[in-house]
Amino acid sequence: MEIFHKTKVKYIILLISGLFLAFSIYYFQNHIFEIGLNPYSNLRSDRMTGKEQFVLHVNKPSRVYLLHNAKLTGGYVEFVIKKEDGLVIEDYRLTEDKFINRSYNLEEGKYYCTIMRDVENNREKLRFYYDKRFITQEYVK
Amino acid sequence: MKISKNIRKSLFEVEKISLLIISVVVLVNLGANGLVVLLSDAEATSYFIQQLASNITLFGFIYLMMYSINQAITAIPFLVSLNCRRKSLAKNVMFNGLTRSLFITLIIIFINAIVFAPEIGLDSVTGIIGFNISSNNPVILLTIAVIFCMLLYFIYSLTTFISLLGVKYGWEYVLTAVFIILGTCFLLFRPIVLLFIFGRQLNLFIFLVLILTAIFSLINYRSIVDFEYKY
Repeated sequence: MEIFHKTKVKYIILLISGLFLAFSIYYFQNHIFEIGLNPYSNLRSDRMTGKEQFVLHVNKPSRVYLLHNAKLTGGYVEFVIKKEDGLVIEDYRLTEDKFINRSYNLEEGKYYCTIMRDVENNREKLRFYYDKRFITQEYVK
Repeated sequence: MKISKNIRKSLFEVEKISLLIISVVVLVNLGANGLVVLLSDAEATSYFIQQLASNITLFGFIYLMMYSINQAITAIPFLVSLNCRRKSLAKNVMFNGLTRSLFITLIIIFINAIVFAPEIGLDSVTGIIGFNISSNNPVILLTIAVIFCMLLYFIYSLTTFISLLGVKYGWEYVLTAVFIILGTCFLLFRPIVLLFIFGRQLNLFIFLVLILTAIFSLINYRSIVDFEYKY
């Protein structure tokens, strides 16, 4: 342990850790844009109706994560993920307060995600995560 | 028993300074946020309550960090210079961290239970580590409390470890430790996002925190027992 008291050793270790930090910042800068958190929405309204739809273009099998914290006084929220050939990956309809935390393995292809709402006093939080390296998102409406 | 009580008293003398500083910072921060309530409309009240919850959560962590640093750089060298029994001191330092972590967890859970009560209707947080924080389910609340307490004690052990490292070997190692921690956070940013929002790899995270806490606690215990007063 005596070696750690030597000034030279101290500065060498400090320099190595500084280089590690510099490398990690460089890595962070290059990879931060791979994180797709979309939709990332905090919705709050007295009344909300309509349809929101986006397409996920999956280029490589990947996992997506969904967190949906719905608080509604009346009405419904419906969330559907459907593959282009019609295969339903997810389909749920909420008519009361509910917390959804799910993940899905998506194969290559095109997936249509639709959110239908006809809600009163909507307090809704939605987080949808995917890896931008393998999945691109396109809003339809 | 009496020695242990005296050590606790001496450590509390140091803690008083941390408590005073953190209270002033929290009060000033909340005071500034409180002005929004006075100057704005009714919506601001819920904003203030959210600020209260997030401030107390954040400063819970900062308080523990400050307390552990204060202990390592002032109380431990002072008590060692007075030939205090090292094993009792080491046990007390660890036990203090545990009780403070429990206490802060209780305060935070209590405030969150009030703030996120359905009557108040606050809904600022989607979920934390994959759990619904505004839930009234006791099992979920207990799980969050246990994880939170573990995390607090982990932070306490880590800062005690870094402070003792600095006292024993020099400031260069403190900076090294900070660089390594920051670097690891930058490298693991994506898993961290997935963990703290969606609760992905939560089991692995809990396992790692437990293992690292045990390692740091053991090293801290040995460091305090072998502490040499050199001033």
